[in-house]
Amino acid sequence: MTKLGYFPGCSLEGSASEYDQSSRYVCKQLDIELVELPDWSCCGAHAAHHTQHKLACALSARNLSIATKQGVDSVVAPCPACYSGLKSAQNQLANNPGLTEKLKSELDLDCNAKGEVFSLVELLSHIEPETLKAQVKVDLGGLKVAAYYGCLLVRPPKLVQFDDPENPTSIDNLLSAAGVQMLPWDYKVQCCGAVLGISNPDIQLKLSGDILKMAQLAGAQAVAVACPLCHANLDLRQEQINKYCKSNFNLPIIYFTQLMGLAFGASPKGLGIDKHMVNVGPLLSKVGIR
Amino acid sequence: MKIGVFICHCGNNISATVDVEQVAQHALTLPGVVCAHTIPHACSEPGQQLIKKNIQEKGLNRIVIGACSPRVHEATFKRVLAQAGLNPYLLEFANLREQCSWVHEDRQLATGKAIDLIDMAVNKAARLEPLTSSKVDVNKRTLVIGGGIAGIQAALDIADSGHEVALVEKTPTIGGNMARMDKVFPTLDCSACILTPKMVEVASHPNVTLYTYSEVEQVSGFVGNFKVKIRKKARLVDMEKCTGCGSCTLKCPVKAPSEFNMGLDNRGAIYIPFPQAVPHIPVIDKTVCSYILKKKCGLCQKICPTGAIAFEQQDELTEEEFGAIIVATGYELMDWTVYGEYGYGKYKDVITSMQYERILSSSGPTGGHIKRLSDGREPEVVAIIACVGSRDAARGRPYCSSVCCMYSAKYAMLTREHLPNAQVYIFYMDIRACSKMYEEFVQRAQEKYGANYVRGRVSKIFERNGRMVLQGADTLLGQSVELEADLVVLAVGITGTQSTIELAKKLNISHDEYGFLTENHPKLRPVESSTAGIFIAGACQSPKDIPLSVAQASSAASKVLGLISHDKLETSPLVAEVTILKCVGCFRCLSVCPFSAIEEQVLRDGTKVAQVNPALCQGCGLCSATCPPAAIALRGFTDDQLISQMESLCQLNPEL
Amino acid sequence: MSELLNELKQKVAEILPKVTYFIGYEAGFDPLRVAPVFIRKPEDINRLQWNRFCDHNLATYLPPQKRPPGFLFEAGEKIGVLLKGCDSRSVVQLLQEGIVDREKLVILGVPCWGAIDIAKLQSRIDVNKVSRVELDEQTIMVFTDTAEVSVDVSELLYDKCKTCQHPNTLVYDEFIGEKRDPPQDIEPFALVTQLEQMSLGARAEFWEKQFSRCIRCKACRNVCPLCYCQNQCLLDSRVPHWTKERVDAKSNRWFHLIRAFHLAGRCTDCGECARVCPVNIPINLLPMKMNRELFELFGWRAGTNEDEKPPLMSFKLEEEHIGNDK
Repeated sequence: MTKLGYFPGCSLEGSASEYDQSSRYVCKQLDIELVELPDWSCCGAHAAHHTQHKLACALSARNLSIATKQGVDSVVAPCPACYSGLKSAQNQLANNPGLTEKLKSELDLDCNAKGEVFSLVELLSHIEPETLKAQVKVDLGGLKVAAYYGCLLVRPPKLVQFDDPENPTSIDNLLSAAGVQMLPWDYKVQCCGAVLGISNPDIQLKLSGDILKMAQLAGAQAVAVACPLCHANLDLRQEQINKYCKSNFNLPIIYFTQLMGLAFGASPKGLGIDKHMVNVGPLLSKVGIR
Repeated sequence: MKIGVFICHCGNNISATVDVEQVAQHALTLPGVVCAHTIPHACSEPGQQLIKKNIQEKGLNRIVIGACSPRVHEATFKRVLAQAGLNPYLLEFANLREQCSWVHEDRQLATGKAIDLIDMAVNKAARLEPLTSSKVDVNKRTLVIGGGIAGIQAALDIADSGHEVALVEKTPTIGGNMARMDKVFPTLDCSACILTPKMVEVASHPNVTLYTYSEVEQVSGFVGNFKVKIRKKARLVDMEKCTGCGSCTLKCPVKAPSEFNMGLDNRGAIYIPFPQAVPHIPVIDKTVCSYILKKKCGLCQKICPTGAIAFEQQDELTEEEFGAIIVATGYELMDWTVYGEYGYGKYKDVITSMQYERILSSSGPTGGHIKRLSDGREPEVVAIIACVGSRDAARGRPYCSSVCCMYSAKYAMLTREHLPNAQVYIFYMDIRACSKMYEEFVQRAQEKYGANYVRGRVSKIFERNGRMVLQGADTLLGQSVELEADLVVLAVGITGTQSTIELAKKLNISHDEYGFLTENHPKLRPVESSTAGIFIAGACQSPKDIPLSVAQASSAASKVLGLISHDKLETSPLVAEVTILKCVGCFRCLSVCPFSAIEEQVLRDGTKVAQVNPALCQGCGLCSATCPPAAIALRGFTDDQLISQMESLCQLNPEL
Repeated sequence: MSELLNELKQKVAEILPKVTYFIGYEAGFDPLRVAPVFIRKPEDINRLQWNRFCDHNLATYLPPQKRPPGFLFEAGEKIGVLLKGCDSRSVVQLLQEGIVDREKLVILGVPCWGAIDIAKLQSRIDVNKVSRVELDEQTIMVFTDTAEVSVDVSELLYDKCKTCQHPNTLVYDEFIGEKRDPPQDIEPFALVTQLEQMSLGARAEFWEKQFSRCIRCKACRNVCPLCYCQNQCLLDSRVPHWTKERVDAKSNRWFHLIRAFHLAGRCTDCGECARVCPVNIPINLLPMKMNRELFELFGWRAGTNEDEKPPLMSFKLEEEHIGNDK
């Protein structure tokens, strides 16, 4: 049993609760004990480091210090934004010797961030494919899926080094091991428009529309994601995309952990698949899941 | 001892911060100093006259000059001493500018420091001794390494002046990268048409010995007297017997990617790199030949009408002597497949500039027809991306490759000439076209040939419906752009080569982190390397186009001719010298000398002591610092002289 | 011990025809002392001794520069020599420096359990009046006409023997007896570390006191196997005049510091300089300090690797332990 600190982050408590559900399920099946960090605070997301760099760092440093206090070596964060924030804070603490003292004197924050930071994709990638295959109970071989990594999960390359920044393959490898047919395509790390969905929706709708178009062109029946924001942009806004791009996409957007969970035999409802805006049901019934 | 001290104002470079009069007054109080003057510009004609006059009238026998860096004007004042009848090495130069006035602001402190410096110089000057240089013979032969356009030009210039040249080329033919090119800017004349005659001329020149498929193995010696071992790699073809008929190359069943065509098509295991190759004699690639690998086949041997195939041939080593060396080893394209956003090299229709040269060339793999490598279709839209691996610090390539702007414009023209209906887009950062007729050339590409210039970088290339899609920014319009193209040509940046770095180590010349050789002075000594007698020409020094490479080659040749026009060379007397009586024969000096200037000498009683070859010694002083009993002294910087300087400094500042 | 001695004599008898002379130890002027001996004739082999008093570093006699007249030899002639582990490090260093020729040496190796420092016996008995000594593996009994004392040998070992990592000869042609297992968990520079516990002021005072006692007899230099510059020694030079002839703390400090720098990365910690010092200055601590710096910076220990280029004679663009903040 591997034991890790678990940092769900705000999305997984709200709009992406199904990502949380499925992540916890998959980890449990794979004998990974997730200890949710008590009293965790927001990672600051992009708002914090746009406002003040030190504040962004302090938020994540606080969360990492909680992990140390809990006696867990490492922290895993499913959301790429949380992961990026934690990883960058850890990196700054390690390479900027005066920072710990500064945070102490200015914010009265006791920093003691010892452990490593993993994204969930990264963590699961360390597991032998044979171990994953041994868990598979349901054949998803009929599903053709394009893995969409988003802009942040495998970047910036100097900080995040578990996968190729231009042509990542870790989600593809995980889902292939779970029995899903993974498709090669070129839009794995293209931007989905991220938070421009609020401030400048035209750009976001165009970019997300391009992603759906490329996935469809590649022959995908669904897109696997690992980011709550990507999921929202591609799933929640698919209607709006269709209006803006004059298209008629009906492409289910599924968290990679949900697909793994399905392969491991969990019920769609238990994985929160019914919470998506684009109905996944018809696709699942094709492979015999109800 | 009659010491004269001269303090230069250097305009106000020195006198603004240092009270030169006070320094001169202080100098007069020092033992041995007969006169002390200040001069507005010591290096000027009146300044030099004043020094000469004082030497002659006052009978000065040691001169101290406080002025700029000795690098700038020591040689000038040595000449003044010589003209006044003094040994030039009786000069001590104190740097009051770079090491004092320029780096300090407080006038009082700077003057104090200048006084210290002059004090030390006077104390050392009192211990200077006259030195004379020795002379060595100059070998009149020149070695040119690299048979591209620069090497060929340099070899021809020297050979035409009546001196012998050996031209060493590591590949089976001379011609270099220029031979690969189709037409060349800014005149769009055919590269082969202007290069081939030069290749033939250099090969048949009575003063030129051509070593193709050969490499420099080892270099020793010094300016005027280099000893070079050359490895002639086994061609496995007898060059005497072979007539170059080429039957063997047609029969060879083996296929290997053609280096000359940048891997766009295949050649045999026995092959002639290209039709105009010089020498026009095939070579057998030992790494793929089935006879060599498995002792099977031997078809070439059977078919050869003159029995020229020689599988048993071995590498040959020859040693030759030269007076000068020119390095012209050229360049290669950087490995662009580090660009993941351009697909890491996985798309067939994303090619390099050099591959496009071969596609455009009538002797190339497509016979001069522009075709896509994926499906053989003629492209309707050709996109050229500039600065791939140039001006990109994030990929470790901060410098400009200098030729890509021009050949990108050339590609626009040539593409439109081959395919009048095709559209050409060029993604660029800035256009650099600053030689004669270059700007006009780019204008022509835009106006006459309708090349579409888009200012911005391409951030991603991917495939969609069989076409290549380019996403990027148009920074003039301030918006993102997407372009569907059929063929993408990357203007890949130029880099120095690993083999040049290895050669530089053998030659003991310096290079930069990109593999380009370093010139001795970026402005004033552009073709001299850091080692005397070794010169550099062409793109091995920095990215260069053909006109510049040729100009630099001729410049290097003229430097060589200047060198070998002397029968004897004067060596610097500022070299290390062994006091045999003190040497204990530990030879630590030998192991630290970077110039192999220390030799073992056996005395009559059988004891071994060190000996310095003054022609090789560069006066770096490592040996002197290493010698435990201080048996080696660097002339002009002996322990006694240096200690005297330190002593005067310590006396001035008792707290030291 | 006596078995080893017999074996040694046998071996020397075998190699003597091949060498001009064999350098070993013989009995000294009293039972506590041994002296170096140069065996040239078979009948002298019986003079050889091998016991816990054999402390001299016989490598000192090997550099041609150091050999006295009469001990020079013609080309082709060889020398035999008995070397302890520590002494053999000196030979490795001399080989590394190209000063001695391996071909011209016939080396006999022995295991060593450490040599007895007679100075440590002085407080227990008058070592200058000893009439008889009995020695076994653990204890030594020393007799004078009026007194006797029995001491555990381990209490009398030289300090350098307590931190020795090389109990067996490193380079040899034949090895006599059984090799010892090298001791574990040894801190070879313990003496320097101990000294550095003192405050800067106290340390300066310590050395100033030592240097003021030095009589500049240069015995430390003359006994050192790696100080082979002899008459050309920089410290005897008049032009330039590096050190004054005057014997005072200041001039002596120069003398010893320059010597320590010349031994940096070369000293093999044989401790001969301290042993021969007539006023008992632990002068070996200065080169040992340099050795520790070189070990920590470059992982270099002189006299342990003949083929490696010494760090102070080579140049690397990047050094693992220099300019690295971590």
